[in-house]
Amino acid sequence: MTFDQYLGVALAAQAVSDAEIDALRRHRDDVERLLRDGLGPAARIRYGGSYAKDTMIKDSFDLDILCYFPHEYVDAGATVGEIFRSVRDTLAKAYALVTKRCALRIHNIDQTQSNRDYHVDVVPGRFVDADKDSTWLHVTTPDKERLKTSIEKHINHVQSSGRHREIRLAKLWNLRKGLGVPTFVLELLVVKALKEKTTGALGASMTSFWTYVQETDPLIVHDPANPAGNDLSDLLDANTQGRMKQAAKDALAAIEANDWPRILGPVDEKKAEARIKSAAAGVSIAKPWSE
Amino acid sequence: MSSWHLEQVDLLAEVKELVALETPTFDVIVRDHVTIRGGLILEHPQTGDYLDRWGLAIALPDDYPTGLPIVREVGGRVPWIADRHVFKDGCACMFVPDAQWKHYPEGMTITEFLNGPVRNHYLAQTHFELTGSWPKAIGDDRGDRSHGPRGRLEYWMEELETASPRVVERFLDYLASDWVSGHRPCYCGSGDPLRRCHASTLALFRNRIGKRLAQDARGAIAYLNSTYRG
Repeated sequence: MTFDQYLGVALAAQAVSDAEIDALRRHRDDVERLLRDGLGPAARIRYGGSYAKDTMIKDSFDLDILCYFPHEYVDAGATVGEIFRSVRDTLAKAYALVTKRCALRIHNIDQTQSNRDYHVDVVPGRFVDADKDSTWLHVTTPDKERLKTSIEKHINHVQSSGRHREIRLAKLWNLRKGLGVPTFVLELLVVKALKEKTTGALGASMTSFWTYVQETDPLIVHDPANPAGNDLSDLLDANTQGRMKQAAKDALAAIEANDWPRILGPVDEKKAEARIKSAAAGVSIAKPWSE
Repeated sequence: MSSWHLEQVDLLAEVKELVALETPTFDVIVRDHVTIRGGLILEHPQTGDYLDRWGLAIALPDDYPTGLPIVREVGGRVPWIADRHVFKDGCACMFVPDAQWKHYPEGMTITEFLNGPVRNHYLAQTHFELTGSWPKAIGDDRGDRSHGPRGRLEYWMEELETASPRVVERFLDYLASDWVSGHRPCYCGSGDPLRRCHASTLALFRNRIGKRLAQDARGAIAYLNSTYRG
């Protein structure tokens, strides 16, 4: 197996099935029904995030649902902060919520097996003007109250880059190394790192990406929808950059040593089995029981 | 009983801080009860290589931190059957209740629990998925416990280093009693009085196991032994 083949197999294993997509669509329908019942028909509700950008991976397929109100509409709140709270109160009737920087993460309350957990983020906002190109989002962190952005520009930015496969692999790397880089920032970083590179073999592209991460100091990305006004540096702080650089260094060393499973895990079942046996031998595990 | 987090605000803040710091792939969700949800990334303990990722929800019970957190796998991978050590309501059975003192001792934080017994349990679940068996220590016949009272009996036989179910039953008789005279014969069957034989073991377990749990174990194991004896 070559490095390109290894990455190809790892990528293929991350394809999201039709059944999983259908389940996500049902979640969106449920959320949309709840929001429309609670806040009326004015909101434009649509997909955002990796679903809209075609960069989902099986190991972590969060769904972003955008809930944007017209700029002159005030029934859901006079400010974007009030809109955020109205959406939060409406969703809280049916879901457990965790407040993120600009979004509300909803979790399943029902613990029955037919209702598995899922990660759906609802992003409340208000269009800046009648053109509906740009949106104000409420910011829950103390650094600012709101930010201006455009999901359309984000989707176009990723889609026109042609780097979907590299973005999916970078997301998998982020997840498996526990780097904690926000997906949006990682996508921008992949596109930026590979901007001058030719598209083609995955191995060469990913090597370029990790080289860029290791050698560029500091790593800086700009929101393509608002390059001057939306500072993303907080999302890519020194600790996160340190973790990324170390993991990128490890990835490049693994490529050099032809030991690719160190980067994204083994894709060969027998190797995975050997690894888990070796891992289990090294720890003391309580013997599971049942009544 | 009201949930602990309504009265122990500082403890809730500590839980949130610990989870954010030590297990950042999890969220703390506070509603009527406190639940910690997210993805547990398993890495090889020596090499740090990625092994697996499990979606989990850990409910902190009303009597937290005394009560054992309830762990559920929420990715739909593990069937809710006894052979995978999952109760019918989806809760993981990570160890026999009598061994809680060992795996969830007093003072253990939620992140220590997540990064210790929970992590190891899901390492064993991944092992089972890949190999069809539970990982076992050297010298062990199997890596999991039998279901029901038999599993509890196995635990006590290991703990007391005995092959005799009767020894376990006598030990639990003593453990479930308020007081046992040191002049009584030792539970081990040596014929010596308890005070000159295994009194220290009994005292040790009195500190580890509450009387109610000891009575429950004694009842289950006595019933099992009686069915063996016919």
